[in-house]
Amino acid sequence: MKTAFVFLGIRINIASRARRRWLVAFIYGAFAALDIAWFWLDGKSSLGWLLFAAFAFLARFMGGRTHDGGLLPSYEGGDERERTRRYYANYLAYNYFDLAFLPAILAFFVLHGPDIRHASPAVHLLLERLPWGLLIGAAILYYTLPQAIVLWTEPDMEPDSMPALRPV
Amino acid sequence: MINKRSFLGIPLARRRTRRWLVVGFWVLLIAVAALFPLLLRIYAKSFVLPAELTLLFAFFLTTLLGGDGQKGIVRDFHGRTPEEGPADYTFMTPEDIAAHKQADKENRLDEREVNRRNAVHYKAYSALNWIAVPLVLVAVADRSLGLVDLGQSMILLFLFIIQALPQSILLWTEPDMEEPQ
Repeated sequence: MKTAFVFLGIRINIASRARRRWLVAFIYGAFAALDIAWFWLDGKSSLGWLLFAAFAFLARFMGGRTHDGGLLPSYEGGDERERTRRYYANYLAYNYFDLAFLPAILAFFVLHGPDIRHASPAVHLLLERLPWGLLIGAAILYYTLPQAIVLWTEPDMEPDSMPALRPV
Repeated sequence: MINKRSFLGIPLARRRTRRWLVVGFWVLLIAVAALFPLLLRIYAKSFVLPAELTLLFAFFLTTLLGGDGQKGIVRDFHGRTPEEGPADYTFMTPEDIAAHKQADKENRLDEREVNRRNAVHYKAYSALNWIAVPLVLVAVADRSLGLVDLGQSMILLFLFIIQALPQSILLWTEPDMEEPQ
């Protein structure tokens, strides 16, 4: 677990749990904004790809998995305690992710079900976009929830003696 | 982590038998997912659509594996350990709290079981990466390609996988059980 993180030459102290929680809340706020933007704009347009790039950037910013440059170190490293914490975070995330995916599936089946033929054009348009918005939300949760749980639950740490880095 | 020594008369002590059971189970679920878009087109006049009945059957199948209750093949994953701290009993009556505490005591997982449970969920979570990629490709494909049915089947299969993959990995990997003395 890192105690500090350098982003664009700015050193961010993440030793305190309260700071990490604010950071997680901010990142999920950004995810929610991007998801809503995806919903209102057509996600399959070129703007949709820009939004996708923003999702990918934020997900990499959180680190974990195979990314070593984010808030969390790569999953390949770490001692036994960190591995145990990671496994537990994945167990918790798995349960929540399950619930997040369900509305997207229901929306998909409503969209392709027989009742959609009787819906007004506005409702039809809404139902066409709703599954994608929900699916993107579920995909974001799937990709980032274990990392968010680790960042949220790890206790306060002693800040290391790393000197402040100057912008390059 | 395995709750039962036999299931519908099939002995579960040997790993090989358990693996055959897992294969049969997934063949059934894949068949349901493949048939579901076709069943969805049958507009029956009866009380429930055939698709809904089939879906209920598939979810019933996933519950048989366990993990979410005490009657399945795999032990309930949510049994707490003393290390995990007390459960949240907010907004419960004293009678409910007593009943929950008793159930928690009976359902407590030991340290090895908790480690196995967490490791299996980690593996299942990682495996979903590989399954999610073709799902997204089919989902974003244009309607004119005629992949709507395939997309529906894959989404449903993905849900089944989320529901049952950790239990399947456990049944697949747990070693042979010792014969009772």
